[in-house]
Amino acid sequence: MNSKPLAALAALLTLVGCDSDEEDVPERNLDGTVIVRGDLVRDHLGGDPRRLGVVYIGVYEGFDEEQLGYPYPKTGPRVGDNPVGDALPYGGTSIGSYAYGCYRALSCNVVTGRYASLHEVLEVNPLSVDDQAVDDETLYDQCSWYYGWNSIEEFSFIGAEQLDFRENADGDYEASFRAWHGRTPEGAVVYAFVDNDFTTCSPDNGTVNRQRPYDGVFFREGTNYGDILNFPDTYLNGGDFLSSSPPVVEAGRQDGYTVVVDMLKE
Amino acid sequence: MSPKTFLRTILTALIVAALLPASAWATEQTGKIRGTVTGDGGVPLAGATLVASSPNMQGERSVTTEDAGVYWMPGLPPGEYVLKASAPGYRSWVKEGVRININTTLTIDIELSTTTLTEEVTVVDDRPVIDTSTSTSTTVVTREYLEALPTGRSYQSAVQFTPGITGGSNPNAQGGHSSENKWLLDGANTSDPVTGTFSFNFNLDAIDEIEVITGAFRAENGGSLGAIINVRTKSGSNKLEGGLRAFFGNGNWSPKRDAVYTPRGGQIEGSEFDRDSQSYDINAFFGGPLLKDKIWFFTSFRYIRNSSTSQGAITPRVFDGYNLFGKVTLSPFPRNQFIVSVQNGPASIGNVLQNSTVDPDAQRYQSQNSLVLTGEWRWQITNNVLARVHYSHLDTDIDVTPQPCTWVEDPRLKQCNGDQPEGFVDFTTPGVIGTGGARSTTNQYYYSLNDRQRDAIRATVTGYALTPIGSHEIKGGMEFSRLSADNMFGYTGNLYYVDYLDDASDASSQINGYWRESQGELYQNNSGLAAFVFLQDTWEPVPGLTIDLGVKYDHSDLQNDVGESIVAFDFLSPVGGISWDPANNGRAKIYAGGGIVLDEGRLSVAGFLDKNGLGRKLFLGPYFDNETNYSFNQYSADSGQSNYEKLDNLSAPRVYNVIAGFEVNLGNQTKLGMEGAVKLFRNIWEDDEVNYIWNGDGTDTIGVVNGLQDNFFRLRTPNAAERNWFGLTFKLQRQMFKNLLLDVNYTYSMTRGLTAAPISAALDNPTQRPYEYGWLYIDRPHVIKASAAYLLPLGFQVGGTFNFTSGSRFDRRFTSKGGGYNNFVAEIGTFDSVNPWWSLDIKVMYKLKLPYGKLFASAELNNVTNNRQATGISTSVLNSAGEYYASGRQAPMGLELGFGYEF
Repeated sequence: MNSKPLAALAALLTLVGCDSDEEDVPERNLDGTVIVRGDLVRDHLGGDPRRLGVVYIGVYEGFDEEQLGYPYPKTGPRVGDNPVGDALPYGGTSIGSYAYGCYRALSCNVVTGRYASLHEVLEVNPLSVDDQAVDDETLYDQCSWYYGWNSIEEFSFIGAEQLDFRENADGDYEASFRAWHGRTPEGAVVYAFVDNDFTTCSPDNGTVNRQRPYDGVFFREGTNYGDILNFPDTYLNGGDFLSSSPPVVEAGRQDGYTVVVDMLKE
Repeated sequence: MSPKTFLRTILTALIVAALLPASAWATEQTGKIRGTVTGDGGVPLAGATLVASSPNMQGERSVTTEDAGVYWMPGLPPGEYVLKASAPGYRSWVKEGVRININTTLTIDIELSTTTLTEEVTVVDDRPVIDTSTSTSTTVVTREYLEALPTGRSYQSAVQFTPGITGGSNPNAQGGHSSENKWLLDGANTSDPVTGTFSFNFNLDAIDEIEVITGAFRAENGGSLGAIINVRTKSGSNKLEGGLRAFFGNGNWSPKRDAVYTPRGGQIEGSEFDRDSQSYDINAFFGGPLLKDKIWFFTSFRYIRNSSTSQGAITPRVFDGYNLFGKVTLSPFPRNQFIVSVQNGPASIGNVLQNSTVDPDAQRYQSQNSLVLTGEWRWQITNNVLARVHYSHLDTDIDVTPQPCTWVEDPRLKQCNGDQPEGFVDFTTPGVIGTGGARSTTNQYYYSLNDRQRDAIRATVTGYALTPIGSHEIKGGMEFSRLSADNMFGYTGNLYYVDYLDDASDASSQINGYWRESQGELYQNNSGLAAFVFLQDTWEPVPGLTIDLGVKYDHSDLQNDVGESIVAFDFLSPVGGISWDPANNGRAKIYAGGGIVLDEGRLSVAGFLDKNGLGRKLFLGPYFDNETNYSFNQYSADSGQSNYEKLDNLSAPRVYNVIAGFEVNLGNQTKLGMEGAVKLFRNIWEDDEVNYIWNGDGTDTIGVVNGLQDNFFRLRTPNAAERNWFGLTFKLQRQMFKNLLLDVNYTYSMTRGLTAAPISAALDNPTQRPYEYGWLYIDRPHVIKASAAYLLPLGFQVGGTFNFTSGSRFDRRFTSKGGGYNNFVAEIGTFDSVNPWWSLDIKVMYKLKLPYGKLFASAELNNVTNNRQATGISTSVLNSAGEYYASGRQAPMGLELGFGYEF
């Protein structure tokens, strides 16, 4: 049998629809777990993990406990009015984000992944309108009115399945994270802090919302500032939590990092 | 011809064609007839003579049958033909009214009889309406269709009649983006080299046919993920023809209603709006022989002016433009034809910004021009070999400037002052932009002068041969295109101010916010080339069965403004198809086809990684001290320094396409068909924004990598960037026959994927990836298009079109955060669509025969029921659910009256 036609066919099939492979992106995801010490929650949040603010996780080049008097990433030189230099993160992410709780009074107060139900939201954030306490049903109606949600499944900031933190056997609170799409060089540190007083949230930013039923009256729903991982010190206040001994990135290892949040910012 | 001789001829012709300095190939502009001639008892007749003649063809075309009685007659210009067959000892055979459409093959088998030698048989039976030799999905919008139906006198609108086409003038074709089509003029690629969209308007009276290819491309097509839209112009004939037509349109006489919906279809704003809308459209055409059967010409002229004012805008937008077209077709010696054409379309658009917050002083002006030069040589080398070479040059200018001033005292117009002459364009006064409801005043802040060019050289050779394993129609060819775009842009006075409302609810709270300064004009030049070779074989192993096989090899190299190759790839794409005529009588076919088609890229993709784009030196004003502002992300301190990073090893964006269907001739020039199609778009261009750090929910950014505050892009084509289209079309088409023309089609489709955009930002935030796959806004599940025209007695004619389209899909969580990118598209909750829309257009025409021509009058009523249409998504305001509003401005019921004379 003449093998030339077969070889030609094989070569053709190899080439067909093929050119080069997808590019090799230098950035990688980095997976891990944040553990917030149970005693911090018990001593400073009344034992209620629902009160945990947004947890910020950053991958930084280095770590320096001396410069600010508390554990903090190494920074670049101070520029302009910044209190400290840029911490120059390689990447990072957060656990939870700010959600608009359908009332202006709840702006910058509701964090996703903390509440299983509307009742829990109001338990932690009691709310009154015209001297009337807002109950679950009123909040449901308000959200339905604003967002057009038709069922409780559509409420994006609540849900038992969406809770970030679980209490582990040691009484600590544990949540997984994935820092997306960043460089993770060997020797970098994974630092975390928790903003319990919501100062990382800007009420002047976020989605533009319309105050119904008045067309032309707008407001912002509130969202986080855009430089939190660059200048954590700006947002770290008394009562916030942070990690005192962040783990170090190992060459070729992209998961399994445990960041322990074990210290109170005085 | 022996196979060896045949191959040698093909090879020689290919080399000859490739060496020609201005040689080129274009998508086929002609059709062909093929078939078998048999004598008594079905015996194949060799040496029988076939002669085709038509008013659309110079002279006659004559071929003789081969040993098996087979004939092949390529390169026939579309039109009505008379086909004659004769053989010594046999009675002559004549068939009239054979309709040849662009790029189609008619199979006409002929049986000659010896009954009476002196008589001639004239066949008046049903004309063939099905091209049984192809599996390609093609729709041809014919001249009679354009004449009889209300098309808005725009070829872009006429394309909308095609199944699988939705959207506007730059349509979405079977899931493709509006910039992913390929626009051809007489086969020459006239797509805008930067955007991939159409590059000029055209005189409808100069169009003979429009071919729209949507699926199962042959190897000779391709380079387009959407549709190939080929406008074939008139050429003139041995008969002198001419006409003068004038149309006046008025959209002011009907009540207008605004179409602003929430995604759930509720109307949220007032329904009345003011809209001025008037148009004038004057056309003339003239064509005929310069030398009978040797030299023909066709020329046309169009002047169009329309003005319209959108809701709240102070000054009407005025489009003023011309179209000049000229074409000469020469046939100086047998078997050779030379065609040259020129199309030119200068136009201006005054007061472009139809926004209620733009003062006349801050208006924008756009002037544009398109020039297309083409030259073509068709050479019928032998009875069985046809060569075509084609050259085309496209030059498009688009200049955006401040509105020229006038001394005419009218507060709606930009007034001159001081010693400014009439028409003075102010490039020195900085402009003021209004944001968030504030007013734009003083001067248009921005100017941009664009020059875009595309030169294409193509060559093909087609040959036909009979072999022991059936007949082969082999076609090979090459194309070499050079693309370039020069763009000079800057800010008037190197400065602009931005005003904003301190309190969004209070118009009096306007604040002069901040300013930026550029270091002067910036120049960008993008250029590149796209080249390909292809080879395809249309093989008929047994009568009635056709197998298409082809392969195309593409090479693209498009560069950014410093000459770096950004879009650079080589790609081999196979295509194929099979078509079966079960009874081998031309009255039905079952077909299937498909293959891989790549996106050859546009200069806008390469320009995405231009280095000068953010090289402006910006001095940031007080507003930037406000840490709540995101715009600082656009800050770049170093002129000319690259803020970007590109990655090599791109995978060419492509579509995997499969179609299958059938067509049946129902008689009376009517065919019924069904077609299912799948298009899987993969490796779509993606701009990866790498310097942001996203929060865990992917809803916002919480930092920037390494402190960089520039947008830091990377061009990618990841596998995850995908889009899928599944469609099923039913169609009923009847050519104009016994006074009735009919075209009805219904398409059910699904468009899902990650992104509907040609360059997606959807993957900027990887946390979204699991959620993003879903319905795309271009999804239109149900589309019905019905057109009909009827010729009434006494010269009256009535036509109408009905169009029903499902509304756009909306994601309940379609929102935008940070930098203006639409990153959050989570598949949570239910999806919504805006309301479906339907419209009815009617055209009535009267033609009065005169001794030397026809006088005609027409009335076209568009959107008879004055329906509203939600046409887009408002990008300015988000509603409380984090959704965009669906918005749209109704194309109001309009009346267009026309009159003219033609001969």
